[in-house]
Amino acid sequence: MLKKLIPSLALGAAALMMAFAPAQAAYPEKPIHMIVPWAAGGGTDVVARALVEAMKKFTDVAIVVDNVTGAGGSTGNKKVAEAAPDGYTILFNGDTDILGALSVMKTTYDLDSFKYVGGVFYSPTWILSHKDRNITSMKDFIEKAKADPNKLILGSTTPSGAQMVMCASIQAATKAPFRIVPYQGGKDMTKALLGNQCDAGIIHAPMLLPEVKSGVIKVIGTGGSLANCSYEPVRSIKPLAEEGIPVEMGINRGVLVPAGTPDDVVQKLTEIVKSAAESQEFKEFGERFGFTPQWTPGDAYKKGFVKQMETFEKAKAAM
Amino acid sequence: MSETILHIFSGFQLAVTDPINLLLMVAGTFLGLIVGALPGFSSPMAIVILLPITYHLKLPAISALLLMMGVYCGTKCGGSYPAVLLRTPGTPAGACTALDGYPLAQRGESGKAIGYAIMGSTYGGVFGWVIAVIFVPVLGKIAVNSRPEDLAVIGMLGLTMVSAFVRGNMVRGLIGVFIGLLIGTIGQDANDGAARFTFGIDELGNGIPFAAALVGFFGMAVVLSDIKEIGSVSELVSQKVSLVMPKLREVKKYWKCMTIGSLYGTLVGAIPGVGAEGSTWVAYATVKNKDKNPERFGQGAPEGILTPESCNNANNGGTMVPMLTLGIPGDGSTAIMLGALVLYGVDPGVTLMRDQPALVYALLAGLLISTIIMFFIGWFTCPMFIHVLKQDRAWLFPFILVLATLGAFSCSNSMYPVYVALAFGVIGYVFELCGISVVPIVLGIILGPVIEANARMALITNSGDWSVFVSSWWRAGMLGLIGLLLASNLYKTFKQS
Amino acid sequence: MNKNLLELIVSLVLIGFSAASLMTVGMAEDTASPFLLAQERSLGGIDYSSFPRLYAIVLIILCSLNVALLIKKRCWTTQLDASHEKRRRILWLTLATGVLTLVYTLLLPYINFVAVTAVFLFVMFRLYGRTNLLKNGTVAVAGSVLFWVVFVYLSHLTI
Repeated sequence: MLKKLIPSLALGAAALMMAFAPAQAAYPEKPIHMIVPWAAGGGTDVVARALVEAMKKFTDVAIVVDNVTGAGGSTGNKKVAEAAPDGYTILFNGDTDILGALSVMKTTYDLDSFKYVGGVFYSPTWILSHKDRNITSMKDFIEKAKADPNKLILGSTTPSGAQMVMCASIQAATKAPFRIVPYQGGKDMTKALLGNQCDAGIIHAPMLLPEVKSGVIKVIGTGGSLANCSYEPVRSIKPLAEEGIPVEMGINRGVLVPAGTPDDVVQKLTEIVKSAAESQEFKEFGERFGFTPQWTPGDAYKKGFVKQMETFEKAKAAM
Repeated sequence: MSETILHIFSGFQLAVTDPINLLLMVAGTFLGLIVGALPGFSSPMAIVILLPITYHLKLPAISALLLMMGVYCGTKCGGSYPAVLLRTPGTPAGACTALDGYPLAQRGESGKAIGYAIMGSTYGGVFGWVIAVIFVPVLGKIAVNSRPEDLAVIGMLGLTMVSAFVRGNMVRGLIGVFIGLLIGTIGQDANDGAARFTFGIDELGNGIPFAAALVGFFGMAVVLSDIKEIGSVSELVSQKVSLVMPKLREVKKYWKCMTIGSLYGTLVGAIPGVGAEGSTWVAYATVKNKDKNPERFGQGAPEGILTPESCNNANNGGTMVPMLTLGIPGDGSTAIMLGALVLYGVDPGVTLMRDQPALVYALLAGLLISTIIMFFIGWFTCPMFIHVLKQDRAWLFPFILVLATLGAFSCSNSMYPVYVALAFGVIGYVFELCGISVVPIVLGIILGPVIEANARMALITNSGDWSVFVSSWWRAGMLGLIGLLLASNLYKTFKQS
Repeated sequence: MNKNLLELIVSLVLIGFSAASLMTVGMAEDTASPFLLAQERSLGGIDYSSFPRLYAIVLIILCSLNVALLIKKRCWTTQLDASHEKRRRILWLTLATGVLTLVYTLLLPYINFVAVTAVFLFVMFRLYGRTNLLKNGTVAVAGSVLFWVVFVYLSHLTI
């Protein structure tokens, strides 16, 4: 009697098991919220939206960008770190921006609170100066600073963030007597640079690229390679490390998920993001924006975080 | 000059020849009016929703931006409707309109009040466009050369205007201002990131979200204070009211106050970082202080509606200047529009006017066209709004409370601003009971950070030298003016007591 | 309880808050950016605590002045203006509104938006005197759904 039942029992058990199968088996099946911890219209936000548009070709679900601003990005980072690890809440931010938030505040999350899907857009952090200041390179800036102590101003877009760390690192490495002045965001820094109110300013590339193209603003240094820049003349500017100032800083913007997210979900998400990042559409956006996008796989992306962390730790220790 | 005129014409051509563009402007303006009339739903919120939609539809850049421009203009007018009819503004910019709009409506002339609001908005929009188009290079230069010390002085000047909003003796007004200033210091210090008064709560690190405070003061507090009006048959409901558009000669009569309002709006909009949200109040205060009978204000004076409304629409023209000449946004809506430009591959920044003059002037043309469309749509849809907003308060108040919650929530997509709004609702209610105006608090919250951050920045960039505040004749003059205004206020107070 | 007495209490409370601010402003010291030199943070003799301290001190002075003025006017002897009965009703409605709104916002993160909003609206309509329960319910549900469509579905608010 029991033998006859076995097939039905097996079928029933299988059906039951399927009913209780984790929802992720069919990931993604509802809208994905991509959290951008910066204001709408800003650099990271624009890249995120371009990526989302490219991602739409590789998945049927809606992907929505949520701008969750505050605390140098920490509010948004925290929201994702504490979100349900089901792959429907993902973070889009830059590696050095996250590190900046971590190195200054006491946070409830850290690098281990996330799994790293991958980086989609790298750009170095560059040092700009108004053409009327007649500063030709960082070496020139350092010399002028030494000649006139405590006069030259190197601006940073925030008092505590990647750009500030770069300022502090440069000062520690060169021991040059210039002043570091923090501005109140990219908007403020842009205004100061355009109005020639500071000698030089540090900001993530490709902000102010149009002004560089027109010659109003000069690039006097960069924290990383500019070889991928869509504007040819700046490609040859050597990174600070090759000019004798051992400071590296750039921003690799990418996608992160909460740490508990199951591997298969991460895998599926990675496929979507990778395809979008390598798509023609995103490439064209990148070229227009200023840099050719590059895909950094998850492991390498995480390694990049750890490596950049050293710069932040060193800068903090030097103070 | 002739080249500019040529550009203006080609701009209009670009904006209107494609019928899609015209359609989008009409749709955008209509949407903007509705969004503006809903307390809690604001222009940046609507524009940020449209952004991915337009990007996905692969609309040409100019079409997407004209749609957003329509919304941008529409909200500035729509925000006045609930301000006039319910004392609760639909957008932060419309808060000042309630001061005279509501009393006028209470007297049974709500149609006229809305008429004035529409008229003021249209005047301001057109004026702002004219100034923007003519003075774009000049204003751009002023904006880019504005230094922190200038902004600090302007902020202080704005703060001295608070006397216009004080009921009773000056001490209460000053108390309000300093409460606002103190509240404004909550959060991370702009110059070194020190987290003041946060007590470990992360959200407080960003300070008090201004929009949430406004929603609390002018949405929730109003509901709490006006509960006594529920059920009472007010003149509003019993009269059959239709829109009464002011005659053209009334425009001539009030041109002074509208011009002052528009000038304020355009200039403040053109200089980023000076606290554009406060411009309506400061304009109102200026007009009131200059008037022969300032007691009329707050009782339904037409100037009290025309000035803030023209100011907030002129703001739109003003913010176009830094947006199009420098690539710097003046407010949330223009920040998103700039993002849209970047997404579409147009390089905003100093080169935009030179490389794409047609686009720039088409956008400006869109501003003017949207303002005119706004006038007509506002006129024709007004009865619809009046009908909705004149329902029994027993229906409206709960909806306003929900809208206030949603609006506060949308500040940062979290519950924190909602609690801020609730707290300010209670505070506003208590102050209202005492008879103390909350406007000085609002001015303190807006202008406090502007003054402090810029004053400290001025000192930092000048190595701690205080003389920087008087080192230019302009600044010294402004400080002298501030001193004079303070002295005259003190004198008036002593005369009273 | 009248206007002036309330104002007196408010002024006293404000003095308390200002004093508390003066005492706690120093707590911000260890959250300042570790990358800025100390002297750079206090140029011109002003640092992050200067403005809050100034505001707090001025507030204490102004509120004390106000308290003195109110006491001089003998604020507690002023007559109440409206009828006792009506005022109690309004006060109770106001309190109820405040409490219910607070409860609504506390429940929002945990219960479905449309459900809790509809219930809130329904309760508020009845509180404010609309007795047709069916109409209340219909408007409440319709309104909540409309809000959901506009704010959650279209605008993607994660409420």
